[in-house]
Amino acid sequence: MATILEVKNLRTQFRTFAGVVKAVDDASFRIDEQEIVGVVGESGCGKSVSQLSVMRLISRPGEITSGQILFEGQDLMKYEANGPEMRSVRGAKIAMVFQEPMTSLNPVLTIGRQVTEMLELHLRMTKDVARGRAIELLDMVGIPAAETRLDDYPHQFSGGMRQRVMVAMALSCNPRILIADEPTTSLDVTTQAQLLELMKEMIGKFNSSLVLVTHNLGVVARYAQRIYIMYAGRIVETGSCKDIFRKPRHPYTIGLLRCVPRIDEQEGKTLDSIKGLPPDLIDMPRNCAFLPRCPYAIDRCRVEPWPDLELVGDEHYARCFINPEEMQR
Amino acid sequence: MAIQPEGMATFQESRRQYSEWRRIAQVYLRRKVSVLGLVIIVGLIVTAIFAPLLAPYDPTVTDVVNKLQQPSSAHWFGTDQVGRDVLSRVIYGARTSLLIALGAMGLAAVIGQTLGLIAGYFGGWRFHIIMRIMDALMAIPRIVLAIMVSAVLGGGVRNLILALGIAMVAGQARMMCGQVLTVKQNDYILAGRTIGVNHLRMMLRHIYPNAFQPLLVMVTVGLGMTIMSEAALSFLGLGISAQTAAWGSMISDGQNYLFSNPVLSIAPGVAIGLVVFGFNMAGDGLRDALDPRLRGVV
Repeated sequence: MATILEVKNLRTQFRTFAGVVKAVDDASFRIDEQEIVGVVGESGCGKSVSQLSVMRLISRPGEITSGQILFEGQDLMKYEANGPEMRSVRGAKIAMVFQEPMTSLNPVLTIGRQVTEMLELHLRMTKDVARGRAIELLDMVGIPAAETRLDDYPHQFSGGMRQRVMVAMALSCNPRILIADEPTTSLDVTTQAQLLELMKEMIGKFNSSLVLVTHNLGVVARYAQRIYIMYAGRIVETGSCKDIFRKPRHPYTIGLLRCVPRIDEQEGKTLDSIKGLPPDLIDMPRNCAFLPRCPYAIDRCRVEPWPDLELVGDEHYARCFINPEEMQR
Repeated sequence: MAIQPEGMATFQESRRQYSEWRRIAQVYLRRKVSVLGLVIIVGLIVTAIFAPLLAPYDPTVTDVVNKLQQPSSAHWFGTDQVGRDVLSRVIYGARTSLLIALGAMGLAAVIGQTLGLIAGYFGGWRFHIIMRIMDALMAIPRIVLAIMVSAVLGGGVRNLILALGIAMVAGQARMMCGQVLTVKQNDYILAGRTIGVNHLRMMLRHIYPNAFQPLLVMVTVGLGMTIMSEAALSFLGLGISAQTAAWGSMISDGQNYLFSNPVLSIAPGVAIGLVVFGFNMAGDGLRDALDPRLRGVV
């Protein structure tokens, strides 16, 4: 299928008093039409920043220092970050859903005003038409009595309901790509599953692509076709969902997979965790950033700089020197 | 989540009655002293509007024969050194005070809040330039600044409004800027940016309504303070011409007769005290009622 978004060598940095934080360092990724892509990593590994960079929503002290963001063949980096071209991309072509449904809606405006704002802004609908469309959209995402609830304020909605509203808003202009930044993290487990199913169904209906940013491998396992694993601002492994889960080729991916509890596990066995903390993004070593936490580290890792992504299988890339057999134990 | 009981819609219906402003009104009305403050303010407004109906005499007509009379049934508060009825002058003084207070505070609010909104929203050089100028303004005591401005511009109601307004711009700008910086952190602002909302719409629709509540309190209390400052300037003779009835200048005129005709100064003095008390109490009540920690409490 055709590629709609291709990001090449993206670097996003934050200039702080302590030094330059390389939040995203030379990341390249692509999103195909009608595809669900997972972006997985720990907190602070650059997954959210990489997605906000695509929308050109990095504000001071952050800055995209290099890279190309090719959306439908056009480089978004050529546009001014807050110019009219970017504003017409945001929401209309690329939409976003955030982690915190409790704070993502403006508390002083009714749900209706917020959903219709999008329609009036991008599709130039009149108030009445927009209202009708808003009711349809809320109905579609499963909000009962949508017509009356349109006049409610966000605080009268539960977390799961608000997230549904956010999904409705995000999809209201039929965007090509929906970026969901940890959309289910703050919801309870039963609501999480419903919301993910809803998003999958909705992007199918709208022929959009979905980027699922998460730290939960369980979520991507079920929905994503391709996965990007990020660590310390870089993509350390990428491949099809199947390859990542069956044949992980980076020790970090293996570590993440071991962190997921399994129901068929032997009773009394302790759950593995990845020892240590992610590195300080200000003073990054030349060699592998995962080295201090890597249980398989070999001498070569300590001496040589971090390798680039290398092809290790069919559309499967990883950044590691270690012999895959070593990692199988 | 998708399935909800049938009764939900009617439950929604009944809940619609509840609104944030109703809750604010309820909390406000529970404080008796705030209600008193509101009554005083309403009284002031009514007095100012209907001054010609309420005042027994024309406040500007002099009657030298009957000057410096003690309070009587004809002149409840007596007459001043040129024979004008003090009660009528106090009533008309409410007009002057309210006009100047609203004018100056309105001016300060419009200029200050706009500057604060711009500084807080955009940050960067706009923030630094605007806020450093505001800091410089704040370094000069309010009343001194007002004296300075009115000395340059001269007296009169319009210039007094300008002088007092300019003196209060900095406070408004600072408060607004701080509020905007807090509100800006919220996810719904980022969410708004992701749907391509432009700057003006963002500031007016998404930030301002979430930032203005503390400023409402500040403006209310500020109205009282403006009346004080206006009285002080009038007292110092920098305010309004002797012809116009103003509480400050009445006290000033009366001080020469403090022992023989104390009512001359006491009447406008009590009026000032009462009105300032009213605005302060109303401000306190508003602050409590708008306290976000009390949200949801009835």
